[in-house]
Amino acid sequence: MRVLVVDDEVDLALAIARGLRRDGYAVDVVHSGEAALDATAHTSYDLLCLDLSMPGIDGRTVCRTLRQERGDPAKVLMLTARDTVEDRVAGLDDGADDYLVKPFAFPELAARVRMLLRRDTPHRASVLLVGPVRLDTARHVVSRGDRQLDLTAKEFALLRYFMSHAGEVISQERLLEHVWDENADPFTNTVRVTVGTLRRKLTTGDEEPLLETIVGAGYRLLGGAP
Amino acid sequence: MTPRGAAPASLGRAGRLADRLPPWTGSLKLRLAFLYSAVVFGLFALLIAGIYLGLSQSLAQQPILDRGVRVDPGQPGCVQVDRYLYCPDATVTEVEVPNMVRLIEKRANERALDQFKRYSFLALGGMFLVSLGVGWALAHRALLPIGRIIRVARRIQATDLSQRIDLEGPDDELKELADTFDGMLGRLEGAWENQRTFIHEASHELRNPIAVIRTNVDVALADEEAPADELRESLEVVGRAAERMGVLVDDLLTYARREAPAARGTVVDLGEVAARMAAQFEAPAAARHIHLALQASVGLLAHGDPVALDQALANLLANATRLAPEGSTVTVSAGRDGPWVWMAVTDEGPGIAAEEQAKVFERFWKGDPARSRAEGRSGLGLTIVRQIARGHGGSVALQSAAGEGSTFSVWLPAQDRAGDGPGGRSDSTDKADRSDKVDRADRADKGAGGKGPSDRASASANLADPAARPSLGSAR
Repeated sequence: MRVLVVDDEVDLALAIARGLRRDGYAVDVVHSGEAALDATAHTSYDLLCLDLSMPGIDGRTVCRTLRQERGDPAKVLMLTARDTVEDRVAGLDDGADDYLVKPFAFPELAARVRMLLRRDTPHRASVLLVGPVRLDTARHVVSRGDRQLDLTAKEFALLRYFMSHAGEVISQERLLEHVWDENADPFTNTVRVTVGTLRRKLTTGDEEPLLETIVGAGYRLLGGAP
Repeated sequence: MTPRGAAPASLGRAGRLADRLPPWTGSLKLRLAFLYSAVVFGLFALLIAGIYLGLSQSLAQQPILDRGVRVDPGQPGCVQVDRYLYCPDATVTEVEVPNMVRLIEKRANERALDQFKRYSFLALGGMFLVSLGVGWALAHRALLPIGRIIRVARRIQATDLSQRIDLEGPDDELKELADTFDGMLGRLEGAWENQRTFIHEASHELRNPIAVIRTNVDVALADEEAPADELRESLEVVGRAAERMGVLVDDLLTYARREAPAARGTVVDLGEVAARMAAQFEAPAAARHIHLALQASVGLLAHGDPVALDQALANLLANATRLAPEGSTVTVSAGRDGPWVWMAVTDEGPGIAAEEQAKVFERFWKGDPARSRAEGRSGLGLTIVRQIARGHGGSVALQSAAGEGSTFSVWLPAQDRAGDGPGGRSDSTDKADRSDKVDRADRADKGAGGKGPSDRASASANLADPAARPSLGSAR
């Protein structure tokens, strides 16, 4: 899942990004509304953590532009130091999906990000289930049957993306856009390598393979929602 | 002096009287009605009594018949012609009025007086009732607006001062009272609104560094295996944010304290303030290779709080030495212009765009928010300067052109001699000076395009010229 953090408070934006990266999201950071509009024009983010009050183009304007002019489906979590009812209503009316008042506890931000990201998926809880694979997005625990899987953050993020779109054929470009951040080099075979290691960890011994490669199109996680 | 001195005593008597009255007389309306009734009744009774007395006197003294006549028909008697009796030899002689007639006269007079008395008492009784009713109605009508004032005052709560009486009707004392009350409410509402906005802004400003601290701590603590350098980095960020909060809280406190009018302590020499602050900022300026020039004479006296005036100039100097380009000159100056003394800081920095100039003295204004944050500034420095100037009955002014530097100046009412207190000059003179000064500041604020204190001084000198004043006044 690809997340864009927009906040002119540099120290705050970087801390949020670090925390979200540790949760396995691909996170980009910008510090102004202008940069946010620029970044969202080139990349389709799954979620934006957007500061409401910034000099120049503020969060509300960014949100309105995304929603009304571009029809961007990215979820928007508005962060703001203003907490009056009018502020909240205005933010939500501009198209924000959720609203978090500064200062917030990071675990709450992480929970709201998880909640927003699973809003459009069939999974309404924080645990994803596809066939024998079980992924707990909140506790970062993955298991196949009774076997606990030991995944790196990137493998975890990759598997979460596959499980959120189980049964779909997902191209390498789409993976690069949604699971890797802007620092990934599109010309290396990092996607192929990570998919390879994830596949080896998912299937050991004589277990049924779950992640299939469709030549020329991408990958697909077998099983679908139980 | 005597009536003023006597007033409290009579008030005191009225107060004691009010205390002795039974509670049901507490209604002003009732008391007014009774008072009215008593006055009308008393006047009427006096009138009747006067008429009665006069009447009874005149009736008793003047008999109706002064004298009687006796008619003796004589011989040969009288002949009736038509309706007349014709007596050719009659003689008429004056005689005393008989006692019987006198008695009848007296009785008739007494009866008339008695009748008058009876009708008078009846009329008095009726008058009493009528006056009571009219008094009540008049009091009710007169006190109607007071009821309205009371109702509005009851509705007003500390958090909602938007209620107004808006009394309609003639321009009488009650309307004046209601309008005064409305005016007071307006001022209170303004002050309250200002206070609320300030708290809102301050909490907003405080929330950002707290969010930085909290998120960094949360993220650092969540990772049990975080490398030492990452933790160290988090701690540095937290330290920066805490420092920023410290500066902000200090400035907030200074600002809140200065909300109260400045303590008009002693006579301060702005020339000395300028020299003292210039010396204090010598080192920080030198560290950035900025030349600090001082152009101030001594004897520029103003009445005020020396600590506050030091701080005002220090805030201006801190801004100038921070923002001026390296190798440039920052000038501290002080001077006198008619009834005003001023001190100013001029830099050769980037200047302030015309559209921003009106905002620089506002709370939490930051020319470059990201840079302000990085440098840990509160955005209250210039607001505090303005507050101090206003607290001393003066004002602040800014002259700036983008790319050419800025001049910030503080203007205070001049003090002629060390012993000359604020009351040494008549009020009217003070006011005239003040409005004159405000005009000047307004013109400067609107970006007249001046370049420095010398320019300012010459312009000011021109304005101080008596011949120039009438045109300035008419321009308002």
